[in-house]
Amino acid sequence: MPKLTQDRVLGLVVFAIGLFITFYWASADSETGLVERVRGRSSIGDALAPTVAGTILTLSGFWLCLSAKGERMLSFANLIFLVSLICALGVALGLMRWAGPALVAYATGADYRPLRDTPPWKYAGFMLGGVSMITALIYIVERRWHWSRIVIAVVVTLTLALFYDLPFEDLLLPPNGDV
Amino acid sequence: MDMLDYVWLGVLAVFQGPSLIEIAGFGIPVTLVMVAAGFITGVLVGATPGLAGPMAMAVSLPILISVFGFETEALLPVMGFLIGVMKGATIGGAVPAILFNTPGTPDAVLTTIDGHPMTRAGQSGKALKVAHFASVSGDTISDLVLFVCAPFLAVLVERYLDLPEKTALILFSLAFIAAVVGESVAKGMIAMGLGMLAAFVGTGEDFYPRLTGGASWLAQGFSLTSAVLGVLIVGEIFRSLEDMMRERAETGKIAQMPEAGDSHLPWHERRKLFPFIANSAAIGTLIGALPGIGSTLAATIGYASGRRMHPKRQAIGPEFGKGAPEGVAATEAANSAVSGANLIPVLSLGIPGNAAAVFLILATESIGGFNPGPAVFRIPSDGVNPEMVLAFGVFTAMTCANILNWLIGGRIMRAMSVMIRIPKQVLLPCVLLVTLTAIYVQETSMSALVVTLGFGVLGYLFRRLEISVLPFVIAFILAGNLESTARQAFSATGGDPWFLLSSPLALTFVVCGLGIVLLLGHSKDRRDQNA
Repeated sequence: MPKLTQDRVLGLVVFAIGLFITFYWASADSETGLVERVRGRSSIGDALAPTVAGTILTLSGFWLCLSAKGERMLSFANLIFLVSLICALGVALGLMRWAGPALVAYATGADYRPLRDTPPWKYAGFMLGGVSMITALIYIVERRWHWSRIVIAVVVTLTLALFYDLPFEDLLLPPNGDV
Repeated sequence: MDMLDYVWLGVLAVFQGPSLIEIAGFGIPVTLVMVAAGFITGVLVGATPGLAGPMAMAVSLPILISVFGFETEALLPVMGFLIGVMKGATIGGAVPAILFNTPGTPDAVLTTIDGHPMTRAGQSGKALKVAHFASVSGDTISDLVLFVCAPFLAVLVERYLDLPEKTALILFSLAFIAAVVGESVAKGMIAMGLGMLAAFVGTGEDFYPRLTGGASWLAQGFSLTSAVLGVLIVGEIFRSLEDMMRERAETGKIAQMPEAGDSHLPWHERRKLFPFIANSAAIGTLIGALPGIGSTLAATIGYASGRRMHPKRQAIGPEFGKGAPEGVAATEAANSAVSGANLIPVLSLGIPGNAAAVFLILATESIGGFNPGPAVFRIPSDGVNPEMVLAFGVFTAMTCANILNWLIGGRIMRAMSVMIRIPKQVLLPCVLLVTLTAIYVQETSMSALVVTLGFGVLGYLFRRLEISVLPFVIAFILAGNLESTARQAFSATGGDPWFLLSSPLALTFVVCGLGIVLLLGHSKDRRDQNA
């Protein structure tokens, strides 16, 4: 029996996804089928292109199963790193999105939207989110906190905020464009 | 109007365009200023370990669009800047490879083989001069080939390729890229299939946005910027961060490198380098003209070919691998020659061949008024084709960047060696924030940042699973074009399901596409089994 290598597992997963897309999802989640006939004229329907992509995935997944290498490429440590990265970025983006409205609500009791282009509120979310993103990622690599890194993060984020905000009136820093 | 008139109009579009500043009563055209600014930025970025030209292009594009707007007049300054970055980053990439044995890109690995031993022997200045001389020579030769070939190739495409042939050509290009890039053809095909699938989400011709599962946030599909920057840039940042984390865990520190010295490269030594440069430039240009192969293979073949030439000639330094200036020249000339020739498929066929070309297409798509492809070089029976004027304007900007490179590129390159002192673990998180901010100001949506990070995770997984990201990115860009061309071809042939096999040329493209996938797949699989 062939050994279940990582390449082979990847091939099997892609093969299964490809089959699912080709025989179910492409047709079920499109308004028109593979080929449509309207007023006597044939035209390509919306489901054809995803079906082609699904077929390519099915065939290439099958091929990878046959030609798989035995090397281990993705380790448990990689996944741990990925999860820690996603958590750090999730917290940073959360701060970026919600810190401004929360501070405005706490300090003034007002809604954030009318104040989203008014300093200092318009910088609050970006500064907190940006600084936490940079410091958290540096911490993940260095495994230690250092004031110099936090200072660098503040300087870089502030410079970036001023770089986009001061000269360009029509550019909005995150999250001020969609709050 | 004939072709030469368009060449002249292109030159005038650069030199008689709007002026940014005036010096002694003479206005300095904005395109020239942007080429120079892009070039210096490119060298700076290329010389910074962990950064690359596409990152600078990604970050600067929304800023450039904010400054210059969405008018057609914005195209030349914006493209000029991006071209400057592309050329600057090409020479800048040799700096960390030579001085500190830290190649920022895979092709720079070959530069380290002889470049870093030269540094250890106290010849870092000479090695940088050799790299600059070879790089700029290879780049110039490649650009000349581009200027001559792209218009004629485009004219041939327009004359002989109808809708079925164009559909087959796009299919062939996708198959070719999937087959030649990376270690495994099956993985290249997986990347291509996923790229196409991602591009089809939320698009289509019907009222209902397909493949969205009814989710309204997917109704507009994935934005090109989020997908491309996520997979290309954010995925690379994630991988580099993890590599540094492991390096610190295993060795207790992250590599720091010694100081650089200086030395001289006289003209008679440059003359001895030229056969190696010419040989590698020819290899790089040929490889660059084929989409997707990229500079790594060019550098590898250029280096191997130079190594074979070396014993037959009077050498400047030691043998290859022990600090031979010819080794640095062979590698740098080959990988630099790829960048100009890579624009041949972009301008003549609309098919991007590498990451830098992807950003040039992104710029033209964002601004509008210029659709890279064979129609660019169509001469109308009356009136002027503004796209052809722009194309020759781009060629003029490239020539100006080359002149700048010859004149001051070497000095800027050596000055930028100071960038190596910035710790990568501090730099990359800052680059991530800059990239995300650049995406936000363009998309104005927090969900675009989440989507970008999602594609970043995909790019990271691709890299860890040894799947090349280039087939994904190029399939994402070309999928819409492929579908619309196929729809038109199907309708134009009266609903013939065999339209791809209806003409000898279309059939040839399909057979070649299948053939290259099967042949390369077979040979790569056999190589893996023998290894």
